[in-house]
Amino acid sequence: LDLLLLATVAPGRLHGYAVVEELRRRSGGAFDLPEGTIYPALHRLESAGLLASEWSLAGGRRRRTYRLTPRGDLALASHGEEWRRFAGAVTDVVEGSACPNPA
Amino acid sequence: MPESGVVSAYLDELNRALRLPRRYRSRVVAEAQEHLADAARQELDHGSAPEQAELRALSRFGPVPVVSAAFHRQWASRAVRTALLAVLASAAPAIVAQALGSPLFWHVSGGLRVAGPWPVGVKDGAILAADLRSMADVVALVAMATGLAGLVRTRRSGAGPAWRSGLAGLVAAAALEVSALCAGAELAIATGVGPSGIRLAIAAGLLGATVIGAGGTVAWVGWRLWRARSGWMPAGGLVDQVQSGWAGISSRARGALRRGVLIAVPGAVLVTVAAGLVEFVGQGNLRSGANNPQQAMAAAAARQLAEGVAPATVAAGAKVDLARDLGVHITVFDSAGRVLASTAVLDGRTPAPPAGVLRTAGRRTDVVTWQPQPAVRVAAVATAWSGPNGRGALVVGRSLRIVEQRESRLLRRIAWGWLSALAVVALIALLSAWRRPPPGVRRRAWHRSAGVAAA
Repeated sequence: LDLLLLATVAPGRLHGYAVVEELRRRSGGAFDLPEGTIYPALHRLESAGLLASEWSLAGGRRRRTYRLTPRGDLALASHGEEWRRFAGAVTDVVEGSACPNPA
Repeated sequence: MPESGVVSAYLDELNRALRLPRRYRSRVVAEAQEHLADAARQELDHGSAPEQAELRALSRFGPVPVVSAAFHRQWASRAVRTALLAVLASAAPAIVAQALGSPLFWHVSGGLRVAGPWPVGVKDGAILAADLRSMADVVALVAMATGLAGLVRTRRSGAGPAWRSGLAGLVAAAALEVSALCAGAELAIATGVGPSGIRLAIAAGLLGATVIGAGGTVAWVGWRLWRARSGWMPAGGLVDQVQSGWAGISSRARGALRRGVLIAVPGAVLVTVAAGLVEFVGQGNLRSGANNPQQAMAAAAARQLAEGVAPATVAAGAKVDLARDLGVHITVFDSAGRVLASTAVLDGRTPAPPAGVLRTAGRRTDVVTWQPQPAVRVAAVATAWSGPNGRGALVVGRSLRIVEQRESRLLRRIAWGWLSALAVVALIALLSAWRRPPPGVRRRAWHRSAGVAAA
């Protein structure tokens, strides 16, 4: 979930509801979590210094918006790379397209 | 879209269910309110009726128990992480206080041993504090081991009453605090009558830091356990919280820390236990050997006195100056504690041990370390005698100067060996934490993958 949230917030400032919507849209509806449980995860990432948040006025309403910190940017790059390697390896194994046997 | 009764009721319920600090709770409720307003507006846009839109928004947000539990888990992991840091912070001054209260420190610094003559009761107080500290150390070690074993068992079985492990941790912290208090008391007593006000200031500072640190930890852990028992924490209990807090540390640092700690802690314990054993056995041998001639001579003198030999004959020979000479000396006392004959002299007079030594000698042979004046210490054997010339006690003694020099040499060697071994353990732990990657793998990638694997 942390990686998904970091990736979702990466393009720019988003408030909590927009994060949920964006996550649902980008996953094609696959990630349909209880929306209230997204906030503890956002707060955890914030306390870990990967996200920053502040109250701002948008459309005449006061909202808490989240953005990636430089540390969050690094964490996203690092974990994203790990995930791509892991997913690639699993895909290779499942589809049988791994490297040829050196023997 | 104005908020209806159903959303307000939900927010009130959430506000009541959240056991969080007031400010943080307000933020959570405010964010939930904004979220529900957005969700309801979207449902309206999709054609739902106003009431149905709000109900659907609430359904998507999740039931209050689920949402509040998620917040509690997140908050508790933060709190536990802070508690772990507090424990580490309080452990540092406690360890220093323990080290400064140890016999090794007193021997090397010459604090307790040469600071006399002691006012009545002061030395007893220091010894009582040392005994209490030893007992508290044992309780702390047992409790810590129990807590650790409980945590490991709970983690392996995947469930269980984890709070009992926390309770053991609480006992350990409390015992550690008692121990640190005793160490501080020893320091304060000893330095209070010693020559240096600086050491007194250091002792007071350490004592204060230890009491604040350890006391704060005890209060903190106790409060968290009480909240855990009253149902504040989710079912996973302390283990989940600790694991969540652990997960908050970066994966790379976590992997390195785990590797380092797994080597450093057992290694340091082994090295310390080995050094303690060597010190215990070596010092015991030296000290017990220092009494052998006196014991033999005291038994022979008591036998001679029982056979009717005069005290002046038994205690005949060249005078031994306790401040200068290393030879064995004998003093014969009558039953009233008056000197009948002696070969001992100090500052031109015959020194007498404390009255309690002679009283004890009336009941049994007593082996004591006698300090007639600062920096003059004697290994003395006191025993009763009776014969045709009367009855009383006799004291046979010998300077401890040579033995103490040997003890000092031994302790210095052990201390240096101990420190060197600790440094080696630390080096190995550091190298292991930052171990070299296999050939062909870049260091950054290796460490990143090690950290992720550890996570």
